Amino acid sequence: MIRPLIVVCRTWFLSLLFFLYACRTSDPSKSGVLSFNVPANMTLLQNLRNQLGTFEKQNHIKVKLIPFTGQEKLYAMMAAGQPPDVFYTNTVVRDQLAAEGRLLDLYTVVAQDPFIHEIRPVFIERGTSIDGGWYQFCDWTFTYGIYFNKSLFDRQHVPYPDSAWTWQDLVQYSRALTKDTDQDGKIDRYGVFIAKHFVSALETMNGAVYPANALFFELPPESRQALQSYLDLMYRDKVMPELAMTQAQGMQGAQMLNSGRVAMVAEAVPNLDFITSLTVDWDVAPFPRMTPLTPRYFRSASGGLSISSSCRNPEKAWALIKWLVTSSPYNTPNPVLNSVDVVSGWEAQHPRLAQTHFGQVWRLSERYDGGDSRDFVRYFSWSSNAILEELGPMMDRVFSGQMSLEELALATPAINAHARREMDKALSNPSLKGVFREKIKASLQAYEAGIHDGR
Amino acid sequence: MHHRHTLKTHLTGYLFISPWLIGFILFSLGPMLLSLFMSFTRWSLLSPPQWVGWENYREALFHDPLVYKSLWNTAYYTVFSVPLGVLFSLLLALLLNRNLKGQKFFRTVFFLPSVTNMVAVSILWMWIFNPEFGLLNRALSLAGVAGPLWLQSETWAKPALILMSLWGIGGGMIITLAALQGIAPELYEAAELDGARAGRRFCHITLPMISPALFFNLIMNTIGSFQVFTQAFVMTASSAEGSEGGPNNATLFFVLYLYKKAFQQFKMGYASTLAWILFVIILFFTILQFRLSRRWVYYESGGNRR
Amino acid sequence: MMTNRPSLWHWFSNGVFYLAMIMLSLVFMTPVLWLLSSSLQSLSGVFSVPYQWIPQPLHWENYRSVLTGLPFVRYFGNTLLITGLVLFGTWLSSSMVAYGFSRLKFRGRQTMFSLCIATMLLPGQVTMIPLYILFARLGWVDTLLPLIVPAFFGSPFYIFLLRQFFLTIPFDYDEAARLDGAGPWRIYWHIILPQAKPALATVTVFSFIGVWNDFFNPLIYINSFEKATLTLGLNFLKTQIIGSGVTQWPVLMAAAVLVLVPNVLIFLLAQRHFIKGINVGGLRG
Repeated sequence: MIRPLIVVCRTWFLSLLFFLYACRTSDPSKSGVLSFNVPANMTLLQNLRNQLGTFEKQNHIKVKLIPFTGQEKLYAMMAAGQPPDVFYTNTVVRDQLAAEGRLLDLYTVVAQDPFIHEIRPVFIERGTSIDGGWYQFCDWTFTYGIYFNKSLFDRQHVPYPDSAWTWQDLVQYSRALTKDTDQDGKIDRYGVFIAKHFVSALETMNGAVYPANALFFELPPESRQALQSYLDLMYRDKVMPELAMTQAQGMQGAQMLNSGRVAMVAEAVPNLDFITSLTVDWDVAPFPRMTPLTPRYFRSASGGLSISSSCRNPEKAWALIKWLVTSSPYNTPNPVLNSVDVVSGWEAQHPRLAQTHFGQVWRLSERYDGGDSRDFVRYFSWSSNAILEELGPMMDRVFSGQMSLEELALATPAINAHARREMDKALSNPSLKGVFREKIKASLQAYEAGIHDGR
Repeated sequence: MHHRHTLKTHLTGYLFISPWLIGFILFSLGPMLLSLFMSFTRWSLLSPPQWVGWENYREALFHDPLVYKSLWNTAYYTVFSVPLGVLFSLLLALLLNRNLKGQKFFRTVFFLPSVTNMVAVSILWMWIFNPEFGLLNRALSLAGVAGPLWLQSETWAKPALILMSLWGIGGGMIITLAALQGIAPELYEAAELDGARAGRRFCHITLPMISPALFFNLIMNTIGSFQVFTQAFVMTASSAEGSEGGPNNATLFFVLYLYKKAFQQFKMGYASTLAWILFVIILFFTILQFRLSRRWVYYESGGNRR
Repeated sequence: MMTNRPSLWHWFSNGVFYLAMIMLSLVFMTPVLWLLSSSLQSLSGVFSVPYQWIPQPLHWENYRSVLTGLPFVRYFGNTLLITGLVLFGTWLSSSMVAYGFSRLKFRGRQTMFSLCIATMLLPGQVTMIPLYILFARLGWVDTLLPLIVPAFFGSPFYIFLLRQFFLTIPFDYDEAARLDGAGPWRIYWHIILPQAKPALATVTVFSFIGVWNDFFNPLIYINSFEKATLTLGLNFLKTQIIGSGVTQWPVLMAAAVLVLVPNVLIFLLAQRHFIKGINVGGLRG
């Protein structure tokens, strides 16, 4: 009895000692190390690891890559007071973090740096929050296009879409391409598939304008019209497979095109992984024009790199970001920069692109930039979480044909009341930075007064 | 049987449970108390928490319809998956306990699903539920039934997840099987000498002897079902971020909702409130089950006595 | 035993049994077979109608992509190290604690046990951050310690499981041993543990699978590329593929199969001990 007791006591005593020994707060953010929580796939990561040495030598700093990303991980690191120095943020997260003083205002490090003139102003704007601080370096952008299977068009004698095509053309072509090939009463090939997250691109094309940093949900007539046209593809013209069905199938654009189940698919341009997985003879066209007005092509920039306010070497962190978008294998050639010829760069990397209208689609999107991509206020604004909580289930019902757009429009006040309550709660947070509080308050007042700010 | 309960016997008891006790104090107690404290605060994880008293609880219980929606979803899931899970794992274990050739193979087959990585399983089942290519609807169409959209259907998403949970009963089965294997054969021999028939043997020997294991399955399945998360998180998310929860929130389970509050909306305080509400609910059912267990769970003499 | 029954009945009942078992196995196996089959498909083969159960040709390169796509051996080693230590810790601590809770009498036992159960009732999502802060204070972030050390303090799940099993072992054994002069440690080590072999085998299987498949804890605690576990690394592969808008389902399925294999092996190993359990029981008494 006694001997094992002694053994156990000794074991516990030793473990306790070990525990106490371990209980010394170590500080991983040593001054000579820059930690970078990088959202990368394996190929990119390997390339980064291979080339990081040059950067480290030039800037006399070690970079620690943290290649595992997740919201829980980032927040845990922040809550423990050890956030990475550089990390990826989307717009919602960016605003929340910035409002609580967790992000560095990039203007404080770049004011003297001529590199700022290299960046297209629109991307600085996109990384700018409601308080005017620049908290996020947009590290990537793309536009959208309609990829199509040329042989299916040839077979049905349908002309290829071009840069001047309209929504009516799209519907008409889709009708001609939609077929029940084995005549069993079920459609085997659809004319077109546009995933629901591209609806915002349609709204933009139709002339809907959302003010930057707007806090409330709006459904302007242009949006409603675009949404209706979209629903009509599924329910009136029946030229697009129903969303619930495609979603339940887990099928993605490339598979739809490759299998011949769909003749046209909306996808990001350029989406290199998408392109390389296509096995059919394809080309790409810009989104069809929806109004006689000047086209407005949607350009996505939903996130970017941010620097933690706790970073000890902000200049070095900025240098890292600069290096990433200019000379690293990370998203280069990068369309965020002025001097970069994106089209030739990508065509050089992927010769297949040169045989398509990729260049045309890209240049059009630059010439007729649809404006601040955060105009899609539902997904990327300060109050988007609150809005989405109400709106999400409703959109599910709209897209499955169980709720009309009239009903959605009628629900707008309820959605915004919910958003309003959340904003009030946010305002009562004492750690909210003053500038944010003022701006949000002003925005709320404008809303109360029935004036929609920015209009 | 009556020993002197001296200091030494108490000390021995505590020595034996000391690993857990120390671990509890070091790793569990602090985080639990902290989360209890946080449930009375507004805490974004980013800045110091702000005390708000009962506000979170009032909000959750009286003003948040999604709390009740997600509770309903969770209850629906629990009511079906727990009893069915315990029952089927018992039946399977009984089948597998027969002394016949090939049992090793069958055991492995039935256990396979529950060892498969949850994320992989979820992806696998997304395929099975695929309305067009999926196994399930293909099998149904052979029987002349047009299958539903399953995960993308407001009506069928929850039954789909319940069905999937039944596929993973291997864990419960193994525990029951281990209990069956642990029954001393002499008990059966004695009963046979007494001329007891198979039905009686089952009711008077097998069931009582494995009742502790069944009880374990029941408790753990209940806790697990109330906390169901991964399947819903992986399987019913659509492309847009923050949209986890299935069509019209049909699979927004309580912990999924809590997770979204904590990690998508920066409301760790409110999420803690939800967690403690769930804690109380599960606690109620656990205590109830422990109370009821006195009537049907058989422990060797001395186990329950103090 | 069954001498009064005709052997025809035996035949019949066995026939019914095997028929039922084979049908059930098919139901349970189909998804797994599909997993295997799809891991050898081409991307388009996955969506082919009608589905080809045996892909033509077999796309073994899916497995190659997994094995070469990440430092597989290293991640395998990391996971093995963690799993081994956790198993050791769980055996040691959980069985000890379960013994205390089931067969020793001491003041406050019921309260302590209730507390132990209660820790399982709170969703881990809210204790995760405080726990992380604790480990960060200890300087354990980006080490394997947060994944290993807690196991040495027993896990409520296994404690509860083992307690349930220990409670089915007749107390006469303890009494007899006590009369022979054995203390609680001897009884625990020489009587209870050997009797509980099926239960320990169960714990082994569960614990192994739990750690082997754990994604969440490695995700938050591991920062360095080199220290990742297999599941974390495989997810890496997944983000690579899914993030691009083109899901390489077959590669993903190949990865799932590779993770599955050790789980099946440990189960086959542990299964022997289920059977042994009978023999031990049979020899005694």
